[in-house]
Amino acid sequence: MNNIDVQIKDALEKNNINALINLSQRVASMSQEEQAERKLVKKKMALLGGYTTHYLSHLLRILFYQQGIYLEILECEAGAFESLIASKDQTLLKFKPDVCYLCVGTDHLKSVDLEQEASRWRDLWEQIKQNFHCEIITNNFVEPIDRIFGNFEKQVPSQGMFIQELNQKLREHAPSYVHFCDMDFLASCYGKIHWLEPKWYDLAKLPVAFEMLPAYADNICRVSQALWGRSKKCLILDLDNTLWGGEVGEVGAAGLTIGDDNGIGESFKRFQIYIKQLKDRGVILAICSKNDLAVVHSAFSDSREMVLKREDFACIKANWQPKHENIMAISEELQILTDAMVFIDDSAVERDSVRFFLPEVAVLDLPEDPADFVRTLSLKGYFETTSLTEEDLKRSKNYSTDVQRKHLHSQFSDYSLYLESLEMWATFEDFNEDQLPRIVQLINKTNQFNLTTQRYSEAQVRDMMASDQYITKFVKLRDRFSDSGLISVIVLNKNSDEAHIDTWLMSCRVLKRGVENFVFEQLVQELKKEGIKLLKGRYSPTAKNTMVKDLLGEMGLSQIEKLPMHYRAAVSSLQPKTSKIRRVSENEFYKRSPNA
Amino acid sequence: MPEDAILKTLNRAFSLVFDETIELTAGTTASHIEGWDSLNNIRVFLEIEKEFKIKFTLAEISDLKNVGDLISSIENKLNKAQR
Repeated sequence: MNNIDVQIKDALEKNNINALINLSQRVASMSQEEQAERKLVKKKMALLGGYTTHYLSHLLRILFYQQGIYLEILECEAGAFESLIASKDQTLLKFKPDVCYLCVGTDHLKSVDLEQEASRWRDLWEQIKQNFHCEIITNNFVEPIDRIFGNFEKQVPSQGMFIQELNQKLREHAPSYVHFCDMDFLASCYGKIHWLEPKWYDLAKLPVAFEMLPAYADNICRVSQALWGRSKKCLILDLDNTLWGGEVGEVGAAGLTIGDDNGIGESFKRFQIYIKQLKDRGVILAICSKNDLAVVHSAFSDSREMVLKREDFACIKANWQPKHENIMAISEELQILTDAMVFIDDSAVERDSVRFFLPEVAVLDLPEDPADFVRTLSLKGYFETTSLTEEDLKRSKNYSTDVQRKHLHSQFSDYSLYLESLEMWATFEDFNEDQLPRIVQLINKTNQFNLTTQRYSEAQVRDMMASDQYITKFVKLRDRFSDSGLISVIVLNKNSDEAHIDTWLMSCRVLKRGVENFVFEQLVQELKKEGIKLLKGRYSPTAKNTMVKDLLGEMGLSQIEKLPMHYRAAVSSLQPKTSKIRRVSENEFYKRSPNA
Repeated sequence: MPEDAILKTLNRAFSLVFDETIELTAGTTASHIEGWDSLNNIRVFLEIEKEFKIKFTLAEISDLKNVGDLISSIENKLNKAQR
């Protein structure tokens, strides 16, 4: 680890804010070369402060840096945010922020009328979006602790009641480009008495007490990470003394400490319940344990108190290989990149070794006491999200049906016979309003099977949908085992009789099922129908999308000599490969259920 | 706490905030130290509050003119705390 990284880690552990502010200046002055060497991604954030954002900006820079982002920050004068937005401020316009953060609070409320106040904020958001074309992160409002009515506060018209209702209203009517930094939660979580120091609030308009700055900045950082598709997707767990007390190899399934019998068992059970809930909302679980596989299986099948079951895990690696090798194997098997993984293990030695070999994996420092496991994990906020789609809720189930598919695969020597046996069917439809959240999620999250890695906001996608300049298609896939949901997106830009592939991406869960052939086959039909003569495309390489390097060539497009990443083909010359997927209408798609 | 001990602790606090070695005297004011602006002033006071485990009032923060004033204010507070 680098010197500055060690110092940052140390300062964060000690909550030494002065040191962090000074370190932030060192991060800010990093040259382009240093940024490239550290593989930092550049992002721009405008801080529109009703409060003083000066210290916050330093903390943000540090925390983003830790997540591999070089954050360029534009700070606005405290209190001037409304006029800057309304006047379409030139500096802000030129800055072209990826995201605007509205650092506001109860001081910036104007009306005593709930409807009026709510619509004032909605108008402000809309103006930001229209003028600066960026996503917005905004605070909600902290319910005050300085109550007029005491316990009766929420039963009568009062500031407390007003703010509670305003928060609710703003949340309900927030457009998809607005994301909340839940300040009321943060303040409650850390204790409202400590959250804000009245002296500094009055004198310097500090939004939170100095010591709270790291927790506050970290929360903004998490929301941004989720927004940019950089949240974690997969949780890899050790077993002995992580999910249960005791070593199953020594004491057997019956001897494990788990369940209601005693406090420690209760702690492990609570941890398992929390993890099960994560799984149910779409986090993929895997096991990485130094044990014999048969022993692990017996732990799950023979212990009655176990909350988590074998089927809850998309992948189980129980063997005596080094853990980082197993994590690589899990990554390959599940097609999830290691930088989207969290590793939990009670052994400090294992944790350090994974950190050493795979620095991109988030390794949780598990506390000594199992009673603190849930809290430690939840406060990390690894799995933040800015949307919840049907696919999220189905995801875990889909990963476990992959195991059934694998079993079926092993029975065939011929891959195409295996594909046929899956009896796949799929839709190929124009973008529509119902599917928009999932489409936008895929566009902003997909890294590997993604030809151009173009990211678009919901508003931009909606514009493309409405324009006749674009062909916008999505694919939903099912087979006899499960409904994979919406897994592929393709966008083409039309120009008279030419079309250019702007976006082509696919979820890695459905690799090697011929979906790309299906998409291309359907696409060529569509192009012919639309009278398109020439098809163009380009591959934009990133660190993560080498798997589609030759995609356009494989589909029969030819490379343009002078522009090696660019491809073209006469539509009439294209002979798409066939797939084993049957195209169905949206209605038919749901008629046959899996496993029927 | 004797005056020179207070000064020594103050030097440490100032050096931490300004990220360089700083030697204060009783006559030092904000204009003598580069970067001692209103924003860093907050950091200075927060650091001093933490070091000596004391709290300044809003009025004190606004009224203190130089490091000499600061030292006597700290002495006062420490004495009060002892009593």
